[in-house]
Amino acid sequence: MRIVVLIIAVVAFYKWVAFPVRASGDSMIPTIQDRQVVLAWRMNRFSPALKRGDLVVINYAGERQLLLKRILGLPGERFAMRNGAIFINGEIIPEPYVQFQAGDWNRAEILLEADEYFFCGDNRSMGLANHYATTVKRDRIMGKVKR
Amino acid sequence: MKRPVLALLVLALTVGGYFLTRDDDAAILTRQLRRIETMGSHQSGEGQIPRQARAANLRELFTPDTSLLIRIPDHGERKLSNREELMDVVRQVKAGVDAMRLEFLDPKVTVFADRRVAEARTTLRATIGENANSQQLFVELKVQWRREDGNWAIEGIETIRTVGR
Repeated sequence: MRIVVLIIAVVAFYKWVAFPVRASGDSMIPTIQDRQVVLAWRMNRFSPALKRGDLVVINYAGERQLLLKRILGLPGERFAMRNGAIFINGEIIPEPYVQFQAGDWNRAEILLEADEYFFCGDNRSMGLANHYATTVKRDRIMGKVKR
Repeated sequence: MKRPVLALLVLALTVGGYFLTRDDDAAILTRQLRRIETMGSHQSGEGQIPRQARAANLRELFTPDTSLLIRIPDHGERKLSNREELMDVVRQVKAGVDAMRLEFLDPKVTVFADRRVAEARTTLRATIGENANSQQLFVELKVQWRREDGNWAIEGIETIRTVGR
């Protein structure tokens, strides 16, 4: 009986509260290493609003394609990337978590929609074309990783 | 007595081998998406002749009356109503875009019961340009196939929604 209750509790915890995610690749180093396992707290309507710098798990395609990235641009903001630096509403923002700076990533300015965020990884030393650095709607963000 | 047993064994092996080695439709269609990725992608240094030649092979994967409804973020909507229109656009893109990489992420293929029509839901990741100035588009697509004369061909692609831009 105890085992059944334990199994139900574990399943319910993973389904409604938090779930483990294993990072695959180097796009988040040095914050998260390749193959590192982190716990993502599920987002729901009662979750607090996302802030710049939050680490999130995004369901980007199908059922299995999950991304572990950092939120950089918030809804309603003008987002741009110039020579690897992030500009929000025309002003550069500090990024202490970035230790491998590319220096040559560029992205023309876009206006983020009401429920749209811009995300990117912390490792900017890899080619932009091999990196997921784009926008996402709020309903695709499945969980938030607390560090 | 031994002969019927042997014959049954051979029959069982033949039938079992057929079912184990035959290509199921979903696998064939997933492979078609992979071919589109290869044919539709090109690198910056690649010459026009090879990239146009590879793209020309896309023709065989589409029905003559294929229809495409593509919504590109910040660029509006484009509707194509047959294969020739599609190939014209492909030629223009191949000639005008420096580098492009197409990837169908996590395609989920459904073959309907009569095995004459099929559908896939997938997210297309299109990377335009290379290195520092590349831009990525992510669109969720519905791809529909029709089987004619035993061959599968795409009869429609529709943009469901933009996932990222």
